[in-house]
Amino acid sequence: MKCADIEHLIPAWLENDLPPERQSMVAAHLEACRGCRELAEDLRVLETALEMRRVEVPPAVRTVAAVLAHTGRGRARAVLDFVIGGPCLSALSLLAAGGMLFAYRSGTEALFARNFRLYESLTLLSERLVGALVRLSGGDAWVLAGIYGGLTLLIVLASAWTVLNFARSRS
Amino acid sequence: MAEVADHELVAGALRGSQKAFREIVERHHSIAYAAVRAVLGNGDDIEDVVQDVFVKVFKGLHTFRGTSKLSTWIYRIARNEAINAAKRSGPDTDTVENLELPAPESERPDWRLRQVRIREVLDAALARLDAEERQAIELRYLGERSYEEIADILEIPLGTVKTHIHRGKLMLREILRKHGAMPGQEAGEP
Repeated sequence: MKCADIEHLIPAWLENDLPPERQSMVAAHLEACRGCRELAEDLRVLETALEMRRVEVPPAVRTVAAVLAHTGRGRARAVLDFVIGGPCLSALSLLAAGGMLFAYRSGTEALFARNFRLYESLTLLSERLVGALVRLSGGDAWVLAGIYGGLTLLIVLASAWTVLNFARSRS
Repeated sequence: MAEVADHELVAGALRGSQKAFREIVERHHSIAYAAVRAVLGNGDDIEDVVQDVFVKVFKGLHTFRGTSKLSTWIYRIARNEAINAAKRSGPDTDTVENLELPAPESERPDWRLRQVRIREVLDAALARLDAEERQAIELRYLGERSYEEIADILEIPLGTVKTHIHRGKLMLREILRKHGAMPGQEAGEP
């Protein structure tokens, strides 16, 4: 075989990556051809030189420290994201929204026709909540309306946000 | 002990496990370094860019869908960060394309100087290669990846990886010989 045919095979030959008959053929050519033998030797030297460049790669531990320092409370944020994006808070916030709607109690009695005790407990809870809000408002109707409205808005927005976060984390 | 799979590390890191994130960085640090190096050459800011890469990885981990391998995803981030860093720095910086081959030396320097010189000429010679060949060689030698891993990272056939690396090495040898910079080549020797 001619040198032009052998030269491009030498890198693979050095790695013993050629089929056996080709490995032998290249080896035989190298024994007879000084130029190709020098090429093979140069590639061996080059291989060593390329491997020696690995020493310049800095240790990963420096990068880890720098990244964690840069991202600051990465762990706390990740935990917070998990809690906010988790299913439990989504479910609880939906429950709270439902409870708020129930607190308005318009037409809800029929929903509990079969479980009067549950209805009584929820009604009692809702009355206590309303009583607390009335005390907080000092009896002022506008303040009470503001508190009601604010709480309702807060719970609805929080529910929507947690549900969206949960959906995003699962997509 | 069996190595933890990448998707488990990602899940752990998303749950806030620093240990999982640390493992992700250690496992893919050399890939990111090789990718940045292939674009920026031997500039002083390579380590900073690599850190920026992993900050992006940390912040964007929740967007990793698993449709490609984690190594491929990190490689792409690294390559894009390096290209952006090169653009920010402007045309006169030491990107790989701007490196010049040092002139051949008339005298034989001592061993330590020869090692420094060999690295310098290799950097400059690598700059002369096609981007695909340079990427593959950097992943092989700086990234310490096998041919199969490089094929996965670059999403190209195994045969193509071998062709890039083999052809790249032949080109490197030719460039270095032409400039009298082949390690072991005597001054003035063709």
